[in-house]
Amino acid sequence: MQKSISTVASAGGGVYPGAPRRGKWFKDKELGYTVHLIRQNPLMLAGLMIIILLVVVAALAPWLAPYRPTSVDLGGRLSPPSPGHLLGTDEMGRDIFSRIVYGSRISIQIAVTVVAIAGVIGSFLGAVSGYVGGRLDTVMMRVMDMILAFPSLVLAMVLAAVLGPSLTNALLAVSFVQIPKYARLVRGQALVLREKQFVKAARVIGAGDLWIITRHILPGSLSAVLVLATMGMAEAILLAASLSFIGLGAQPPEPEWGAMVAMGRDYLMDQWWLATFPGIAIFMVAVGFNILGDGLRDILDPRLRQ
Amino acid sequence: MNAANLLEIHGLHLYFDTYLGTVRAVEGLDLTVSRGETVGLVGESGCGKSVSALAILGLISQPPGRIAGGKILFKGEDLLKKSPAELRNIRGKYISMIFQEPMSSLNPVYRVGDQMVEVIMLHRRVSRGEARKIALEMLHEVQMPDPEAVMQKYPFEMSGGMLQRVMIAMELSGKPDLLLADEPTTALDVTVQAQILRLMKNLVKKMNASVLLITHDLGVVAQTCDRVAVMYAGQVVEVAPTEELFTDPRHPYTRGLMGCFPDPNRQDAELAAIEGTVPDLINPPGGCRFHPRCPRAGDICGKEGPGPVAISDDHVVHCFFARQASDDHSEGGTGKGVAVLG
Amino acid sequence: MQIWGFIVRRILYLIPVLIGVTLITFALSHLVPGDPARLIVGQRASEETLERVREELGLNKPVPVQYISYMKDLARGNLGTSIRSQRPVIQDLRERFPASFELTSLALLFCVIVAVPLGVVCAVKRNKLVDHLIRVFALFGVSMPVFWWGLILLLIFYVILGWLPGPGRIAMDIAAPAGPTGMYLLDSLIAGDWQAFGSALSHIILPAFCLSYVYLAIMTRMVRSSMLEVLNQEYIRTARANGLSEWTIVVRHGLRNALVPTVTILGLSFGELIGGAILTEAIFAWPGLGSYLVESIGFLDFPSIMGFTILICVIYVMVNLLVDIAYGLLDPQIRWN
Repeated sequence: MQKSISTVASAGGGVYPGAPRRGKWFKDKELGYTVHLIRQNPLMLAGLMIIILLVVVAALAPWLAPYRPTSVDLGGRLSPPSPGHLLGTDEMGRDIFSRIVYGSRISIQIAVTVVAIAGVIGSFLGAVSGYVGGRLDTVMMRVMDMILAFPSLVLAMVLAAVLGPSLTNALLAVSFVQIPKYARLVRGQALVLREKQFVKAARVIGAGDLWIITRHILPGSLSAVLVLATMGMAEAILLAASLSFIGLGAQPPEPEWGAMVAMGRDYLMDQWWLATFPGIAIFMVAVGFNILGDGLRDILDPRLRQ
Repeated sequence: MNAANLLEIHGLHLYFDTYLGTVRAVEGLDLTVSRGETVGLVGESGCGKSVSALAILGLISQPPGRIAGGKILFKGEDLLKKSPAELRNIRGKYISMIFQEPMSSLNPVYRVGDQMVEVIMLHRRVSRGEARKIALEMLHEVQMPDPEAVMQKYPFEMSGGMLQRVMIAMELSGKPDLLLADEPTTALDVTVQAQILRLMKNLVKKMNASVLLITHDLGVVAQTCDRVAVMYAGQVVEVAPTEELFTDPRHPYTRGLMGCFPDPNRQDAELAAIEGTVPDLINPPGGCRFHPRCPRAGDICGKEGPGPVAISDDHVVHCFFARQASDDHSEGGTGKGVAVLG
Repeated sequence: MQIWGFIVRRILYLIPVLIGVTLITFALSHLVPGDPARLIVGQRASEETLERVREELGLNKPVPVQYISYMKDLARGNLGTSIRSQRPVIQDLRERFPASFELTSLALLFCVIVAVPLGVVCAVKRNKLVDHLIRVFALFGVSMPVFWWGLILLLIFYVILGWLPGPGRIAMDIAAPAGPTGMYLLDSLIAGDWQAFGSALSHIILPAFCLSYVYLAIMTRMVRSSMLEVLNQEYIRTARANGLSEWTIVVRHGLRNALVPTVTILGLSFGELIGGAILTEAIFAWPGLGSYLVESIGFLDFPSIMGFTILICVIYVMVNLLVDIAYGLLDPQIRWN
């Protein structure tokens, strides 16, 4: 208590005079402070709203979309936005609004799959590497360095090209590219955590390595991983859309937003709506995840909290 | 304003607005420093002594800080009314400041000499070559071995004690009237502390500068100060000439501090701690801020704040019981300890 | 001086990374669907021809032997033969390189000129309106799908407003400046051909602007956060207490320190710039390495793809080496130990 007051007073910088004395108070004030931080960050709420909107749209797609995403109407192709087709139709006469609505499902699929694969594998590799240390750690980190020696889009493109163009392969490629980020982050956390008293104590009472990794190291790294994962979703969506744009991801007629932009590219001169609207959707979702990630980092970062 | 007074602080109120409420870090601070005098400002960490010094230089960032009232007169002019440009001209030239952590007080990516030259050129309006000469002289003054080599060093290549010498040399290079020293020796080894203090004292005397020395260490005070102001929870509770403070402390808090001060003559003595904790400065106790911890607090203490009580011309105490005999306190024996250290 | 030891250590550290890169590309070349020999000779070739090509390519030797000969070829600068152009891949890449270099350098230059001041303004005016505006601008940048951004720029400035020319490096009716560098801006300047220079300049503006946004956004955010951290340091307080002007404090004492972490992160995210360049070149029909990759992928021209990948990795790793050296120059403490 003494110390925290003095930091505020002498540095004249902080705004949080530290944790009060008793346990109960501590928790309440921490929570109150978190709420305060969230309220101070209206941008983060906007990000959260975007993501909630994305999920709701994806869940209610069949009810929200006036047309089936793949129903072709060659008579009404390339028609501009109108009350009948809010965002116009594409070169096959498909309703762009409906396709974007259904495309939200693919976006969520991309975000969740990539973060699940890369996050789980990367975190586990990082935890083992950092906790076990020694030669295993050196080798593991060298391998990660090798992967990181490729610009992520280049590696994802080459992998996707080798595996063959499909959404699944694109997701695998993007996931693979993202693994080192999680591995490095969690390894750093593991290096700190394994020196903590409670981990040493667990070892003394005979806990196995796997137990310690799953019960102490991974949960201890959770908040950092959460921040990275949120931003990683934005990155995954952008990368996957880029692959689809090049033709290495989702294949027509799937209503994937990047592929839709690619299609619209040929009609840019006269039918601007084909490329414009799906791009806005990608952009909005990426903004949402990025704001949310920024906000989470600000709230969870103990350094910024003080 | 007394012409002999270089610095006069009247009723300074300094608040910090935080999420949990307003921290009343300094409330009604009165303090004077006359020319050539070294005044100690003593108190526990968090009592508002450092922020008061920063306020003198206008270095409180606002927000969250807020000057809620008072005057800071330097040579008769209120520093709180100065424009940023005027303040800049005063900083480092008329009033300098030395901080607690010499290791982090200098820019890590520039050579020590270049940083000194930068400041000297700014305040003395001299050429680079001239500034270099002054820097070398000043390093010589602080008894730095091989000043030429020191000028070429980066901060991380030097020890804390050496860096604090550099800081002293740098801060005194502008021939300031007032030096604010915020715990200048706290971060240093005990053996180096005494050297640095002696050095500072001699140099300041030579330049006839005044010093406001901020510390929590009564040993440092005894060694260097002419007068001492004791601060508690944002207020000055007792001011006295150093010797008088040590021989005749009147405020219960001052006595408590003396009790905390180890007596080198008594090997068996345990450090006496003051009961209770530092008050919450968001909701400070009413009346005398010390009363919840005070061994002799009466009913009145919780109701109104004690006004100044003059024991002698320059010994003022803020306590209702200040005039009661001073020899009834149980802590005792501190005067001797001071004499030894001083 | 110690800096040389530092550089040598850094270069030595690159060797295992580069070997790793070749291992990965080698492995990928072997994962390629279909028979590489068949890809070269075509579907109608006889079994004997196929066998002969296999022999030539060393495909019937054990894998480690193949890797060694692969490495030998790499060391000689032999990246194989492009299936599409039937020319050595290295020759194709050499031809394409100047266009990419010209585009990325210009974009990078623009980034630095814009991002550093923006980041500094943000940090100094923290939580003021300017800070919020610039942060939103940067947030949009890092969330921008580059390929779509390029299309939108084309749509606005070429299709709708007609202020700038469309895809390509230079107008169709203007002869490309012949010169030593292969970079149109430089070559036309050297030749004193102002018409070509004007055309090349107007063609490069949109793609350079398109490419710079994402990296500029990353950079602005980096400068802002490291500047904020630095401005909280005690030596900044010392500088203030010494009466230095706010400008000197921010630029001389703040920025110099803030650049140390910024430069490192920038090296690491240089990949974003490369990725952005691939997409930008594809959008603007910019005949550089990026569009070469996209074209090669469309053709499943794996020797070209792998050649490109190795070249890009070498560039990427070299950039990070330069960044490390810059880091050493900026931070004396690194240099010394």
